[in-house]
Amino acid sequence: MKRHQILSGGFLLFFGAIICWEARKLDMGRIVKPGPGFFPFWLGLFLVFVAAALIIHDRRINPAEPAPALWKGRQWNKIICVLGVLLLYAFFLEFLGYLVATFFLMFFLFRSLEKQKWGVVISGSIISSLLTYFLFKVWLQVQLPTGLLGI
Amino acid sequence: MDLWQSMAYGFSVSLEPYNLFSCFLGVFIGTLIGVLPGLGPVATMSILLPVSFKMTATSAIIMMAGIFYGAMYGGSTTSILVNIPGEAASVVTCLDGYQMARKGRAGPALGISAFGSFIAGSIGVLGLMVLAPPLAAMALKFGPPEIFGILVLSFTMVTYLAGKSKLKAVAMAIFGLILGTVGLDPIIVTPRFAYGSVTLMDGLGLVPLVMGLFGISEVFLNVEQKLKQEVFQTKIKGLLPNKDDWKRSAFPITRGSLLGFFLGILPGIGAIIPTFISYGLEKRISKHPEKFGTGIIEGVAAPEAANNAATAGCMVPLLTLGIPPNVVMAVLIGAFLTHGVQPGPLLVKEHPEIFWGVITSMYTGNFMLLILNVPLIGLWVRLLKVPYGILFPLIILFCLIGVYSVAGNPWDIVVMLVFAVLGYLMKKFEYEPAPLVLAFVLGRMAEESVRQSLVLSRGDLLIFFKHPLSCAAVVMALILIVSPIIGEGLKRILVKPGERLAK
Repeated sequence: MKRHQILSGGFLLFFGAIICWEARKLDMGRIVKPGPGFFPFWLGLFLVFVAAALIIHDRRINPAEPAPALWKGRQWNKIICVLGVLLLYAFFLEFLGYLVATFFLMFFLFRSLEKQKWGVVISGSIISSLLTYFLFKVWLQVQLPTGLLGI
Repeated sequence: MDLWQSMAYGFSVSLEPYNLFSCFLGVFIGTLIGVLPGLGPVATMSILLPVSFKMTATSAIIMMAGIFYGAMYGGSTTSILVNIPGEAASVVTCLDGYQMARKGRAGPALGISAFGSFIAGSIGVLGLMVLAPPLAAMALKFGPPEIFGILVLSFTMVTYLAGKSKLKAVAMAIFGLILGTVGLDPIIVTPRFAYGSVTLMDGLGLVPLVMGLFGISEVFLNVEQKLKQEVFQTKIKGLLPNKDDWKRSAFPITRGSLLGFFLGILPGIGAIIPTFISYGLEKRISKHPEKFGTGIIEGVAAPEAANNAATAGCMVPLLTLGIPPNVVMAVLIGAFLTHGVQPGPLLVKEHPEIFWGVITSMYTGNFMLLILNVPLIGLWVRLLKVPYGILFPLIILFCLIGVYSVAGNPWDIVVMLVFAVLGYLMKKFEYEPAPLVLAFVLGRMAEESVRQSLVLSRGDLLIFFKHPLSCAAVVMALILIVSPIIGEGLKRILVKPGERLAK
């Protein structure tokens, strides 16, 4: 049984059901004048049916096929690290300001994605944060947070 | 205004220095990201969306469009030289282009793809000029039922054309529609699925969604596997195709252009599918089909023409109906809307400078690409040697800047990360992101058209069959939905039960 396909179908089924449940709390209106809950409710219901069909379909087509190793030999731990650091970036961006936060972010990314030499890491993170700062903030006047340093 | 007058007016807009510069910037960036792996036109256009706030609407859209067709050029360069399609629309070009390079004919391969793209782009733009105004005039008469009919047909086409599993594509389209309902109700402004969050109250942003699904998740997929970088060492000499090359590519380019343009108009097709179809077509009508794949110039000329003509075709439904036929056009709609311009049937009347300016800029842009590409190929090749350890952090940084600067809201970064994980998992579980994004963009329009139609007809669902155009669209959609089911059923009946078990 393709376990991971059932998993994704199950998630969609669950999601659809929740949407139906939550849409019921909104005003459904009547067919003559549908309210805000009308469209999400039917979409949710439709998704439940399609997800159920997906699960049944997968079971019928590949009853005995072994699940392919999706993560075997992959460096998925790197992805978790990058995700964590990007979340930290989102939370501290406004406090630290663009320049400081970006310097630390690039420092980490250059070192961790594919190990660069320390010289490349340090100069790369300084250059990339400064260049983008001048390109986007000074030249293109895109709004970026000033933060601690006030720049 | 007749066509010639309109064209002259369009050129007077697109040749203004500022617009000309925007066009140059667009095609240059487009080629650049077409060459680089991991960053496609969709993510790039989203990154530049906030930058374009400062530009005029016309120049912003000229630049965005330039990125799209510029990427088509850039993508073919890497296909030919390194056998890596920088862009999905250049996958087919690898087949014969790379073989030509290996035979020492990289120059003519690059040359014919540049010239072929130019010719095709020009044919496509001409088609757009001729077709768009009358279509827009017709679309003015559309009411909510007609819009709904066309949307249903679009959704059906998108899922019908989906790669492996149509059911999964349907699921993704519904998922996208549901995501589109987050935020304020379009008719009576009640918050939905916001749970007190200001970020969600505004609705999920297209930019964080697209950058997560197409930008960051792409980096994730590349990061987890150890990629090898190798550039085929070849000297590129003589970019100009010779007389024989021209003779052999003339018809493939013409056929590829026409095919690309007309397929590009249809919803859900985009620039990728026409390349496969035109390659297949050339192979079928060729006198020597066995030579395809060994490095013949027809195999490069036809698909390259098709993908460029398709970029012009895609603009037809966007400019005339306001309906984006693919994800790239969906992002382009974002560029229109941030400048307060509604693309659709009224565009040609209300903003002729945008309508004709953008169309004619595509012509000048194609010309620029031709001139740009020939001397710059050396530079693009060198770019390919930038190590991924440097490239991927930069891509991530550009995505972060792009997402943050749309509204100055750090929560948008979180939204982007959620969609990055979703996009990554979708790729793993073989779900396609395109139907999701398209449905997300069209969701509001779809909901409005259903609800307005129901109000109009006092709750009569048959209204969609009472208007001829919406009836035709819905019936066509139904045929598309039913046809594979009938096919499957027939197969079951025709193949005897015993044989099925034996399989």
